[in-house]
Amino acid sequence: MIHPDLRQQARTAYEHSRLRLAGLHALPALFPLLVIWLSPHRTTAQLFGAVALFAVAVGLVWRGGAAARAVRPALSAGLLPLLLPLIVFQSFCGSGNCTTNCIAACTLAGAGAGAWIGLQSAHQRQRLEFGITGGILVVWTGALGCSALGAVELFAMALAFAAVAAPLAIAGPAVRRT
Amino acid sequence: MDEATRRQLSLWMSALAEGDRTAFDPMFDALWPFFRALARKWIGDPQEADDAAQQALLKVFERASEFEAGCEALPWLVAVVANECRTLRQRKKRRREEALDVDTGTTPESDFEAVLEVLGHLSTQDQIALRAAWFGEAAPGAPVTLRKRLQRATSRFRALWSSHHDPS
Repeated sequence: MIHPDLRQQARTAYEHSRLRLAGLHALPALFPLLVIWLSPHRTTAQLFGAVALFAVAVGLVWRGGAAARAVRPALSAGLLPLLLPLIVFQSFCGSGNCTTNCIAACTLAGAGAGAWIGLQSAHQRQRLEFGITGGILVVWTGALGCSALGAVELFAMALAFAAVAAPLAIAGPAVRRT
Repeated sequence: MDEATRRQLSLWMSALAEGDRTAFDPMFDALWPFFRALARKWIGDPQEADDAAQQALLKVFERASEFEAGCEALPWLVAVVANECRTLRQRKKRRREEALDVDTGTTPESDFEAVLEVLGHLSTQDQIALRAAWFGEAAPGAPVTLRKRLQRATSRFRALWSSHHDPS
């Protein structure tokens, strides 16, 4: 017998499967939360930021499109500005030169993540959506590490990211597939 | 199914895999009659075929996100329907076999004799295990051993029964 709500059932099955997939794909977003949790200098804002990052990643993958494709590379690239400043902070800040080293670490990490996302965007069909989503997620992930050091470090990381990612994404070859 | 429809199905599946919800309704409208026709061809009984088609349709949408964009969708879709039809047929066959269970006490006399006849072809150990379970006769051994022996004897009985009474 044909169920009268078959279309609705099929839609529910589809949405549930997308949500499952989203949870799975957003799992790397739990790593920043773990890092923040284990950090001795963690703040409540950082913890909230990490939880919100996971929720946003799930939402983006569930919604689909180029933004969903950007989630995994962005979370991977974001680990650099998340971890490098924290390592530098713990290694050098006891012996002076803290500000200089931390700004340098955030800038370098932002540039590295920018190169990664810029190159990835260049091979995408909807590179603008991919690049913007990727950029937001990288800066968000990186901010969880750099924001603990100061506003200047955070700004330096974001600026370095944009300065490297944008030209690489724009200069990439045109992708014909639609 | 013509080449254009095949290509369209692949495009819709790729769109669904990417999360494009606009492909849902056209995909549903194209798949339902196609699945129903396939299932009716393979199963025969319209009601059972509709059940199989329905299950297959739900499975396709459940797994649409796993579809690899750019691949040919038709072979995968047909495989899902075929699998559902096979599952339905196996379930039906199992139900038929379970109906033979003498524990229910509803088996007609002729069937009972047929059961005894098949039982006679099994090894003595299998016969003891099955008789203990079905007729409450005594059987030596620990309960765990008896349970395992009964499982093995039941599967051997089923296989033998199928070869005697249901060659298909």
